[in-house]
Parts: sequence; structure tokens; C-alpha cells
Amino acid sequence: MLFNSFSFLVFFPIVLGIYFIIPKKVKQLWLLIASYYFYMNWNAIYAILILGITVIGYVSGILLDRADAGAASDQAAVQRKRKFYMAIAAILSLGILFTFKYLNFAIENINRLFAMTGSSFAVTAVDIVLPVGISFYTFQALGYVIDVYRRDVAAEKNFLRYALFVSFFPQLVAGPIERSRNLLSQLKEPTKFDYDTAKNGLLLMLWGYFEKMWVADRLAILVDAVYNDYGNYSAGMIVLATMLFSIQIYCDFGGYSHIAIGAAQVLGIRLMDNFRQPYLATNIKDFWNRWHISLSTWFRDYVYFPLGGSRCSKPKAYRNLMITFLVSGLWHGASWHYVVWGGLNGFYQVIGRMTKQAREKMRAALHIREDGMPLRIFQTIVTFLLASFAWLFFRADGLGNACGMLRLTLTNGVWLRQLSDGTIFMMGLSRLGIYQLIFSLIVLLVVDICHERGVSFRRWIAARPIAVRWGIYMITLLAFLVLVIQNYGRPAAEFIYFQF
Amino acid sequence: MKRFIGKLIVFLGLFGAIVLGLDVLSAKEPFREWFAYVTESSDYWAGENDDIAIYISQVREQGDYTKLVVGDSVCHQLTSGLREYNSDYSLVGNNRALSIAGEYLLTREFLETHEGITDVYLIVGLDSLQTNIDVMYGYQYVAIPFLREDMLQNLDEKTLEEMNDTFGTFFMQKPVSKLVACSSVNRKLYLNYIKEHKGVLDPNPGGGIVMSDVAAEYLVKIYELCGEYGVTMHLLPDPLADNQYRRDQAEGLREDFAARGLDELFPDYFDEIMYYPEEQFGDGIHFGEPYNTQEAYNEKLKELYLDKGYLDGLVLEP
Repeated sequence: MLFNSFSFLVFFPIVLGIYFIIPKKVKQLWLLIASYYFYMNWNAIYAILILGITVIGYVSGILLDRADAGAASDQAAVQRKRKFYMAIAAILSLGILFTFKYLNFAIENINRLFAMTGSSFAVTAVDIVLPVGISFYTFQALGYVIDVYRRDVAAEKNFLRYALFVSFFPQLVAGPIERSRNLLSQLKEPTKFDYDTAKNGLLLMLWGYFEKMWVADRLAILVDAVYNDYGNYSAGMIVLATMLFSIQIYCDFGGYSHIAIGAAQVLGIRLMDNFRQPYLATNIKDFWNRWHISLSTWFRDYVYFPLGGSRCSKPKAYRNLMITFLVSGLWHGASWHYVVWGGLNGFYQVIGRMTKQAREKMRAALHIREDGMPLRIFQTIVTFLLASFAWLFFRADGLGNACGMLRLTLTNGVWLRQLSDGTIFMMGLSRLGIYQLIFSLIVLLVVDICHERGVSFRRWIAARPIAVRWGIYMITLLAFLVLVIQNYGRPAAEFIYFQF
Repeated sequence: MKRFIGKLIVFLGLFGAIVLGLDVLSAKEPFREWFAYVTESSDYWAGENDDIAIYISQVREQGDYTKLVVGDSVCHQLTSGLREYNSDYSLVGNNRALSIAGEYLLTREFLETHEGITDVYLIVGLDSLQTNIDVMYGYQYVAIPFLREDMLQNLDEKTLEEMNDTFGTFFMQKPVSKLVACSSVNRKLYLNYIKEHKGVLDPNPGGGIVMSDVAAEYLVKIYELCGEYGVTMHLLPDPLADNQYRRDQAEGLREDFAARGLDELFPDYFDEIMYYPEEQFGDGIHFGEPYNTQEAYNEKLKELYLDKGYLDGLVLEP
């Protein structure tokens, strides 16, 4: 059930309506049933998988708690037991993730290695379908177990509540990857309906739908046209398509996150922010503080810091950065081009750190103000270009294609051809669609800049008289209706991050 | 919560009214084109000259006609260029999408508005014998035009029920069908909706080559209608491309035709099928270059029908 489908538009109000009228003691159960129904819409078998992950996390948490309650005198034994339970939970959870997501990738590479040695031995690939959202809820459940292991949170004794934490439908299939500290504690106390909170939640969902339908889905048409047939496009078009993909994936994933956060907010639950105007970042480190925040903080807290973080020698700190980003790349997909993408982002940060002092000295020598607008704009553009370059590897259909596109961009001297001859109007989007897209991009930029400066459109709208507010809502909904009619007959576009 | 629901109901009510108003406006001049452009629905606009309305007006056209020729698009290809030379023949070749039920309605309209008619010629190919009133074309080519002209009620109850079931009783109401017909936006929404939810009917659900029930039923109805008016009905075949598919199709349909007892009413239809080399057909159905001139069509008409005693008196040249 996609967020941008008719079924969700029927599902959500029903869930909402019943949630706020049923007694408090059954609210959690209702949300749990709704969440499982939501997930089983993709494939009923998936329920067994998520239940398995849930049981592993729940039992591990209880065992860790009980180990703590053991003989206080033998702390070493307690610690050994806790480490054992933690290890088992990690092996089982990651083992399930590996089986469904990485097994065939591993087999493919093993076979490649055998082939390189001249051997004809080959392992048969397994016929296995990647369940939607598995990377997200596995990490969410594992994060909880680690938090219990670290004694950051107490183990959850209520199985239904814990099951809901793992399967909460707004964030189940594509995050935000929630922390137990935040979500589990909110689930303990079901909320009453709050008009302003619900209204804000709906407005956030509306913004998410705008990002997804008006921006991401339209950009996808242009990006796909180039990436699926790059040999027929000029270097300039490949570069443009890559930059457009940067925006597409931001609006696709950011849009999904906003819909998820908004939906949860209507239910009275506050999920963490997942995106904070990432393309207004002034360096790659800043970019990763703003992009897919739930995942980057997960990796920071559960991979980077345990490796030593930056509280060690510089070479080790750089090593820790690279490992974290390579693993992050692999998390996104079982393919080497994702690993290259992750590695590139890690490399950017390493270079950034290595050259930080030199850059500061250069700015001082050139009397460039650190907080000046020209520098900030320059840094923002450079960061965007660096991120876009990495996205080329993310979007390309394999490492081979990524290298092919790169080669073409660097060796094909023809840059401006197709950028100015109207090719863009023949790539699947009508002239009207292109103009609508340009308008949407301008709206996106303006809203992001306003958010960056602390100006909230939702608060501004909320402060207007009712006639103005309703007028704005109606115009917005009519614009969506126009878009739906334009796209009617085409299948609803999936969200990019569903494949992870 | 009550306050929220109350406001939501009022808001949705207002929004619904605005949407309905805009929807009605999308069917009216001078807004139609603008709505079509903004919603990218222009491709769905049939235009004021939509074909079926033309065919209906042609069968109603008064003159010295004593004979009617109706049939599918091959019939239209062969005979439409001869309309201006023929005062005796009303030549209204149209489109397979009307189905034989649509041919029945046209024939009925012609017979009700003319006197002294002696012959009705129905010239259709094998595909027409397998055409149902399906979701892809039935609403546009049968429901909308014949509802608009108040002719649809001449179909029998069973057919009307099936159409209600396929297209929805709501959309079979004249004002609603007019709203769909006159608005590109509504056409786009409705046609894609039924395509999605009803799917395309398989003409051969049992796997064999069979006639559609609609074709079988309305061939008999046309025959009986002609009988009521003292008119002779002739069922004549289109020229066909000579390939294995067509030969197999003819064989299969001949059997089903006979099984339904239609060979007693139209004993010569299959025997009179003439096959022409495949290269003469541009799309496998209609004649292509250089066989698509009226001169070439006239030759075919002579070979197919005139030399066999059909279409007697049809003027082929000025």
C-alpha cells in the first residue's frame, strides 16, 4: 500500500477515526493490527518475517534485563552473558537481513572469484524476494537491543507495545528509523486527539505529497529517460539528469518521510525529523547531518562511535569514517555501485577533514569572511555538486553503467547540445509538465530557504483567518487533483527507498 | 475531535461543490479546451465531429434511398467515397467498434425514417463477428452516441443490463454520459477507470475461435427487423488478407456460426469470403498503398459483390 495510492487514502482515515474513538486500553492493539494489515498488503508472508524480527528483539531485551538482575557479585559473568545475548540478537537479526538482501550478492561475488581463478565451480543463486522495508525495521529493532544492552533504556516487557514499536505503519517501510527512547516511550501513553497537532500533521503530509508527486515523480521521467539510454545523450544532459536525480531522491525520500511523520503526528506521535534542507549544507559533513538523519545517526551511534569515532588517531578516525560510509552504502543495496557511492561520501569527509585547516588558512589569507553570503553560496553549490557526483553511482544501473556515464561525460566534448535544442520537451514530460516542474522546484527552494531561516509556512498559514486558510488548502488540493488527472492511467510511482 | 470533524465535513462539502462545478464547466465552451490542456486530457477529446454522430445523421438523411449499406471500417473504406454518386444507396460504412448491436441501431433508425426500402447490406469482417460491447470502445462508440440520440433503448433488456453492468448504471444515464462525452477530463478519468477496474474482455474466453454473443444475437435481430419492414437483408463478408490466421479464424467461426443456426439465415457468408494477398493490406485489415485508391476499391467491389449480383445499381463513378 503506497502512501500515494487510493487505498491509503481510505485506510488512513479509517485507522484514525477508530483509533480516537476506541478505549485507551485497545488503542495499541488497534494500531498494531492496522500496521500488520498495512505491511501484509505487500505480501501476507511478510508478517512472519517482521514477527520473527520482533520476537528476536523482544526476547533479547528481556534476557538482557534478566541477566542484569543476576548475581551482582559476579559482574564479569553478567557482562559475558549480556554480550552473548547481544551477539545472538545481532547475528539473528543481521542474519535474516543478510539472507534476504545480501545472499545472492555474496553468491554472485563468490562465483566471480571462482571464475577468476579459472574454476568452473559455481554456487546456485537462491530464488528470494527482498521484503519491503526489511532494512529499516531490522535496524530499528537492533537499535533497541543495543540500547538495552548499553542500559540506555529499560527492556520493554509489553510484547504488544514492542511489536507496535517495530511495525508502526507510518514509518515501517522506509523510516525514519526510530529510537526506542523516542517512539517506545510515546507508545506507553496513547494520546488524545489534538486539533492543532492533527492539523499540522495533515499539512506536513500535504507537503510530503507535493514533494513526491509534483517534484520527484516528474523528475523521475526526465532522469529515467537519460539513465536508461545514456548513450544517446550529451555530456551536458547526463550532468543535468544527475543533478535532477539529486533533487528527485531528496523529494522522493523526503516526501515519504514527511508523509510518515505527518501521519504519525495526526495520531499524536512525534517521529524524528529525517531531512533538514540537505542541499543547503555547506560541506559534506553538514550534508550528512541533514540527510536521512535517522540512518546517519544510527550508523554514528552504533557503528562509528563503537569503532572509536574520532577519539583516536587521525588515520584511525579516517578509517572509522570510511568503514561507516562503506557499510552505509552497502545498507542501501546489495551492489557494488552503492558501496562506491557510500565510499565516495566517506572519502569526501576524509578529504574535508584533512584539508580543513588549509582551507581556513586560505580563506584568512584571501580575507574571505567565514559567515559571508558569497562563501556560503559557493560552499552550498560545491557541496551540491559533490553530492550529485556521488548520486551518479547510486542511480546508475550498476558500476559498469556508472563508469560508462562518467567516461562519456569526461570524453564527450559536446556539452551544450540537447540542453538548448528542445530535447528536454521530448523526454516524456509535456511542455506544461516541464513548466509545472520548474514552478515546483522554485517552490521547493523557497520553502527550504524559509525553513533554514526558521520561517515555518505551516505556522504562517495557521495564523491566517479561516477564509484565507481554507482558500489556500482548496487551491492546493485542486492543484493535486489536476496532477492526479494528468497522471491518471499511469501506474502510481513507488518510493525509491522502498527497494532498500 | 467533534470540532475537527465538523469543520472537515464543511470543508469537504465546499470542496466537493467546487470540484463538481469545475467538472461541469469542463464540458462547456469556451472552458473545455483550457481544462483539457491543464489536465493533459486533450488526446481524449473526440471533437464535435465525432464519427458516430456523423453515421447517425447519415442514416437519418432524407433522399431517394431504397437501399442501405452499413458495416465496419473496411466497408467504410470501400464505399464512403461513393456517397456523392449514389442517390439510391445510403452508404454508411462505419466502425467495428460499434459492434453488430450498433449496426442494428443504425439499421433500425434508417428503416424507421425511410419508406420504400428494399435491401439492407451488412458488410462486416470476421473480427466484427467476434466484437462485444467491450470496455475499451463500447462506451465511446455505443453508449455515448446512441444515448445522446435516444436510440439506446432500442437494444434489448439483456444487452442494456450487460452494458449497465460493464459501464455502471450511473454512467448509462443520458445527462451523465453527456458530461463524460463533452469533457475531455471526464473522458480521461472514466475510460481509464473502467479499463483499470473492468479489464479488457477476452473475445475468446474459452480459448476457441467463437462469435461474440452480441454479434450472434443482433445479426438475428437485424434479419428479423428487416423482415418486419419487408426488406431483404444481405450479410456480406469483407475482403480478407490471405494468411493462416484468417483462414483458421474463418474455419473456427464458420463452425460456431453454424452451431448457432445462423447459417440458415445467411448460408453464403463464409463461402463468399475472398482472400487477397497480404501485401495489399497496410495494417492487415484495410487496404494500403498502392491499393487504397477508389479505382482499386471499385475493382474490389466488382469482384466481391457486383459480379455476384449484390449491390445491384451501385454507381462506382460519376
